[in-house]
Amino acid sequence: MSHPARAAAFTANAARMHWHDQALWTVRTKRDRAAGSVGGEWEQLRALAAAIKAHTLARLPDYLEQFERNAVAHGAHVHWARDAAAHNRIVHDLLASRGVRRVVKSKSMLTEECGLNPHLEARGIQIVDTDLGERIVQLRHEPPSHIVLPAIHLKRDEIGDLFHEQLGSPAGLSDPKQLTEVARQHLRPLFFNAQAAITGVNFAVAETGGVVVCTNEGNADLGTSLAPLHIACMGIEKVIPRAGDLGVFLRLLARSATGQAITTYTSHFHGPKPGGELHIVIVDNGRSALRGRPAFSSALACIRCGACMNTCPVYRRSGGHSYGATIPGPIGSILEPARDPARHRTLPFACSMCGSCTDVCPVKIPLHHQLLAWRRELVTAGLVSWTKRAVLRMARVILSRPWLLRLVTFVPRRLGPALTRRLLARVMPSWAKQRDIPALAPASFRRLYRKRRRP
Amino acid sequence: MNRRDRNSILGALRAQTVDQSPLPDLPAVSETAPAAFQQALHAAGGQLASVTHPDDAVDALAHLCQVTGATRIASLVAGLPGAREGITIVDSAGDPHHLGDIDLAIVPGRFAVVENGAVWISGLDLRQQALCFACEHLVLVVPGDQLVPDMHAAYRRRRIDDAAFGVFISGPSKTADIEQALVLGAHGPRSLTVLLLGAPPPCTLAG
Repeated sequence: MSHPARAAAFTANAARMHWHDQALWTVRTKRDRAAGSVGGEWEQLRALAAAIKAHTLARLPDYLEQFERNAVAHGAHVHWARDAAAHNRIVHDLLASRGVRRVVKSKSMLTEECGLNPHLEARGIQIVDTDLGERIVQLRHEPPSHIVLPAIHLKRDEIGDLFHEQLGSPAGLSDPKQLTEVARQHLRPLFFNAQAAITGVNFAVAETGGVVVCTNEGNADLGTSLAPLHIACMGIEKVIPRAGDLGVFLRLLARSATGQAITTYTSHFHGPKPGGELHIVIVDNGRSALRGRPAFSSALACIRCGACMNTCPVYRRSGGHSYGATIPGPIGSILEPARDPARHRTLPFACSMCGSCTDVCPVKIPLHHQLLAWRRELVTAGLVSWTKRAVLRMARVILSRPWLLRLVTFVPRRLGPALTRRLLARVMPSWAKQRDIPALAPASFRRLYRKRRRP
Repeated sequence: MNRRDRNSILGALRAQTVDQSPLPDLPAVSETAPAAFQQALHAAGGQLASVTHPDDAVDALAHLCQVTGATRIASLVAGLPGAREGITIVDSAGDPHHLGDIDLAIVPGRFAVVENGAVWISGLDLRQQALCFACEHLVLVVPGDQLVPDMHAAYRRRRIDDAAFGVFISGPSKTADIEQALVLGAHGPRSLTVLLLGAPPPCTLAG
């Protein structure tokens, strides 16, 4: 299903669409306030972050090896997975070989990408997503709609109904404080009974061999401090060279994501806790291939802050589920087609080219430029609809023949705006639905020029 | 180790030619007034208690216990909370699964960061990591002369890998996952108090 088709379903409920739009825009404004409070340093930080990521990406294999060496020296085990299937197999083997049946997991888009939950559940392992938003969507059997705010598409009374049905809380609850309390009490025994904790990795420090996990709820820490086994899953692009680089990224991450100066918890793990085990799974799953494509490789700098989706007018008004992908929004529309161009071919077109995403990206990925580059790739590969191909062919024909261009632009001028609109509505109905023609000058430049040149 | 996948991934990366670029120097530390710490901590939902004299710390904690109704307390800071009627001191060593009913935990912080209200807790000072996260209310005791301006200063200050665990904690556990409404006390502590100990209200910044 295409983005436009899914988005049409979302926008059909105009009131809800506007509510979603406003909710995300509020997060964008919080980001602006936080960025503003850092003053002139903000742009310097962005430039630094981009430079650190570019340098790291160029020397990625060396930094990955350095990270592995130092992690192992601290007593962690490091595993490598070339794809999602390998990742799932490694995680399952670690759990099964230790007789683990109860797992808690904090937010990891990588595990979402690999489909870890269904893989483990099919093998009899209970896996509970402990981030509140993730738990909500897990109970609803749906994917998250935002990488930082998984349940942003839901209203409080819907969550109240969900908790009533599935957690036995009183009917009609809708106060966020009360609902959060319900979730707290529901998840607490699950933390205390978990035999393993799976987390993502925000940053992997090559210099020290440590992994850093950032949360607001403390769910990653509650899980990892109680369960004897900690499995940390990371993409190869998460590695950064020095501990000092954390200063740059941590100053950017939470401000870009939610407008906070820093997340409540920023945990640094160097080897296992006493009596425990730490296993780090390093995953490729298409990332090395993306690094080999100069037009798109800088997308690997992404620190998963979500700022691009908060600002994107298309995301705000179509919702994360319209993208049909693990990661939605502008960055998702670049990463996902790289993974599966045919399946995600409509995503780079779900873009107004406003460039707002590029403005807010903390690591300065030229997002809208890459979306445009994707369009070129998809057209070249023939992966666009026949109507789009027909229109592009027609445009090529008209624009390369001056006499035809003159004719085509003459017609609307003679018909006048009202008739032109009617004509377009007949000939290109979906284009005309939300677009209007520009004001038409009474005479073309060519005509005016000729007139003035005559003595 | 999964050598085959490891070699395949590293091999694929090494086979690519990517433009090299230099690793930039880290930025200079910013100038931030120490008084901004309180503002940053409040913005993160935390509370600040500044005491000059260690005895005042005992009083501040007594007040906090009263306000929160805390009776079961675990402390990793010598001399605190001080003996008092009505409270039980819980030993936090041993199996972390017994930490499930601690009302208030008192934990030492090494230093605090002015720009974001965060306190660095080193695993070297914790017997159980879980103590910081499983309690209902958390108190972080920080020497008043150990404030650094920003995260750049924080990472210059000490190696992060001197312990298996270390954490920056800024404010109480929180979430805004339900309609963007901020709620304090998600899964971790419902409140966080930073007790700045042994110095007048902060006016110097530690190097």
